[in-house]
Parts: sequence; structure tokens; C-alpha cells
Amino acid sequence: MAAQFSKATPDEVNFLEVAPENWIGLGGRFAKQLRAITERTPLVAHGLSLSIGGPAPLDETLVHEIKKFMLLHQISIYSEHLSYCSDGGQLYDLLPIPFTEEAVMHTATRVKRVQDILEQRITLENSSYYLSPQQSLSEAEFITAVIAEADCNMLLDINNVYVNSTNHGYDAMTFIRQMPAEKITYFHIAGHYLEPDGIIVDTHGADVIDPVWALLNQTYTEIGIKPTLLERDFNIPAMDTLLQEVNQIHKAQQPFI
Amino acid sequence: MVSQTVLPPDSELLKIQTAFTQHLRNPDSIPVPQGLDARRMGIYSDLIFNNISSLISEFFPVIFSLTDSEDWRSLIREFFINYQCETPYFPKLADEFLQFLMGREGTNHEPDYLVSLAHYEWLELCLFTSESELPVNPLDKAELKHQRLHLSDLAIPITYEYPVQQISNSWQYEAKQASLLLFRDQHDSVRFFELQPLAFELLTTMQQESGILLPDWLHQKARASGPGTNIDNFIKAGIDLVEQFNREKLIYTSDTSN
Repeated sequence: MAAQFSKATPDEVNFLEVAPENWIGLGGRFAKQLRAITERTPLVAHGLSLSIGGPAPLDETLVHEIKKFMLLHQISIYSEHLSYCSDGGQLYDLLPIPFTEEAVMHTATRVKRVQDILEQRITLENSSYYLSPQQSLSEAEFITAVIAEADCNMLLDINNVYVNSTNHGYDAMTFIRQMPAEKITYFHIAGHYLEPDGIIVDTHGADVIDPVWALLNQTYTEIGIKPTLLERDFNIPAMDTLLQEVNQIHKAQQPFI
Repeated sequence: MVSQTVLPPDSELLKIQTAFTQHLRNPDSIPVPQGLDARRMGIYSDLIFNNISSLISEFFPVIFSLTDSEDWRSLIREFFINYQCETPYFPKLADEFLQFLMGREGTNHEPDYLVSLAHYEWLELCLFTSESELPVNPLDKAELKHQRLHLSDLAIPITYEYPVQQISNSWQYEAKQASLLLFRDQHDSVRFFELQPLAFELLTTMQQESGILLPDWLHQKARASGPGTNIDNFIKAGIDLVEQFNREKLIYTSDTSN
């Protein structure tokens, strides 16, 4: 994918997202491709390894490296998942933070520390989750409490709302209405995988389904349009096919421009 | 006042998260934490296992291709149970896996070349992703002859106990040492040269801080190699060899040109 974008960025694509943990400290061919991309396409840093709600000490070295990476590539937005991925050792995946008061305070304290180091607000994404290890707050209460306490921004992942609303049996649009609209800086949209027993796994490996497009439309109607990123991590189709989905985002935004 | 970003030891959150990840690391032996749905915990243990397995298989493609799927799964499971990865960076996961392999006994039915091959695949990745760059131009002939020469850090001379560069599905097992120069070329691909003992010695000496003056070094080696040696031919062969590395821009000089 990087090789393709390093030659030319299609007109339909206004910005791209990179995971800094894939690129920091990297030289050689891939670094040259990234440099070619950043010279003409704005990037957002979308982190994977910060473990913002995790039990292990906050990796401040990583935060400092991300700050340098953002400066080098002129990146102004850093988003991360409202989840954790480390128990002292990295597990490299997004695990569900218990929805408790203690977790709100713990996570918000760490977000503030990250924001102090970066000297800017960070953006937290509502993660997909398959179960909640402990729950004294609802998911919506938990997210809004962390964002309010930490005074950070939010990335609303529309597909994750759909996945979670299906897996946990709640109404997606009611959830979106509970989110702090004034803090939302951008949206994600993606495809997912439906297990035979009806559980949806957030794989980013398939096309976006119609109910998710409908949810995006409804979100635009109610809280306005924001930059929207199509995520695709696996089974990546030809560029033309991907651009059809990017164009569908443009089309959905058109009535509001 | 600096707020605590670390949980106190008696934290309820710490307790829940620790129980959660301990099960994910070792789902066959550590039960699902009380009150949690096994089917949904299974989604998490599959996700993290498959993610790491797929990353490691990309970093160590030869080992992956030679290992049967049961053994591969046991190896990755052991990695989860016995090893704590520290790096937040995905490409550096290869370092962690190599450390893991080097720090364990191994099982009886694993090939004895496993760690050598892992080191070779790891070194290829290190060179491929190194932040070093080759110079724009190679040295000229005069520089090769008159200046102190060093080896680029994008070139690593190394001896393995097995011919790791040949190992594949069709390779006939042979415990035979291989000395190689692994390097990143001008197109950012990683390649190797097979090295004779003298070439290996020359390149490792060039890696040292003082570098070498090529004709002096060759002259000394020629004299040491016995009375039958034609010194001029020996030196010429040595210079030709270094020329080959120089064409790949792997040689540099610390002397300032006049």
C-alpha cells in the first residue's frame, strides 16, 4: 500500500493515517516511501502501542518518540485507542478497559501526562470490544467521563459503534447522541467480519456494509460532517475498489457542504 | 503535583487486568477469569495469537515455511507464556523473538540450526530497516589504495555454523560453516556474498575503528601465507575483491581527501 501511495496519491484521498509504531526508527526502502508520501499528503498519526488504560507504567519514551515523529512528518493529530495492550509486556492488540470509575481516573491521568509531553491534545477512539471485564458504568458513560476528565479530543469510529451495538445489544444512534460532539475531530469507517454465531469481529478486512454507511449518514445529519477515514488492514483490494468506498464518503458528505 | 500514572499494588483495576491478560497469554492452562464469557474471551485470545503469529511469520519467513503448523503454534504459544516483549514498535518484534529463541533450550525435534537461521533472518531485517544510508559514490581507485578503509555498517561479515543462506524446503541438511557478507544494496534490497576465510578476515578487520590500509594489509598477509605466494598476484586479487565491495558502496574512508 505504501509503495503505491509513494508514487502518487489519488485525488480522492485528502489525508492518510499511519501507525507511528510501524515507522519510528525505520530506514531503508519503506522510510523513503513514507517520506515521498508525507511530501504531498497530510498524515494523521494513529497509535497502537500506547496502552493508555493499561496496568503497566506509561511508556513516556514512546510518547517522546511520537512527538519527534510528528515533527519530522509535520503531523498535527495523534489519535490512540481507548484500550490497553500491555501487561508489562506488549500484547500488540486492543484489550478492553474495565468500565469503572477507577479506570476513568487512571486513564485520564495518563492522557493528561501524554498531553503534557506532546504539548497538545490527543484524540481517543472508541474501541471495539467483545466483553467488558468489569462494568460499573455504561460504555458511553465511560468514554464521555474519560474525555471530559482528560480534556482530550475524540475520534468516533462509526464501524466500532455498529460492532459494539450489535455485540452488546444497544442502539447505535442513541450511543452516538451520548458522545461529546464538540470534542469529535474525525470519524473512522471500516468493514468487519460476522462470525457464524452472530458475533461481529472488527477485522478491517472487508467492505463497509450498508448499515454502517447508513449510520455514517445519520451521524453527519445529527452532528455534522468531519474528516472521515476508511480503514482497511487485511484483504486489501485493488486501489480502484478502495477508491469506490472513499468516493462513497465524499458522496455522503456532499449534501452538507 | 505529578499525578500517579501507575496503579497501586492493591488496585482493583490492576487485579482485573492482570487476570485478563494472564488468561490470554496461556488460555489452555489459566482459566477464564470468573464471570467472563469463554466464547468472547476466545475471540481475544485468537486475535492476539493470530496477530503475533502472523507478524513473526512475516519476519522469519524461512523458519515459518519449514515448521509444521502444530510446532509453529507451540512455539508462538511458548513465546506468549515465557517472554515479555518490551518494544512498542512492530518491526522490532523480530528482535524480541530472536531474544526469546536464544534464551531457551529448544525441544528435541526442533532443528539444530533454528537459532542460526533465526539470527540470519533477523539480520536481514535489521539491514533492510536500518536508518543508515550508503554513500552516493563509491571510492575511486586511488582512495582504495592510499586511504584508510572501513566497512559500511550496512554490511555485516558473519560466520554461521550452518549454511543458513541455503536453507529451504529443498535443502539437504549439512552442518557446514558459512561465512557471509550480508549487506543492503543501492536499491535497498538485502543480499549476501559468500566469503573465503581471508576475505572474512579482511572485512572484519575493516569493521574495526582503525580500519585498514589495503596494500599494507595485503602485503603482510601475502608474506605470511608462505614462500610459494606470488605477492603481486596476491595483492591484485585482494584489491579486486575489495573493488567488488566498493562497487556496492560498502567501503568508505575516514581520511579527508586532499
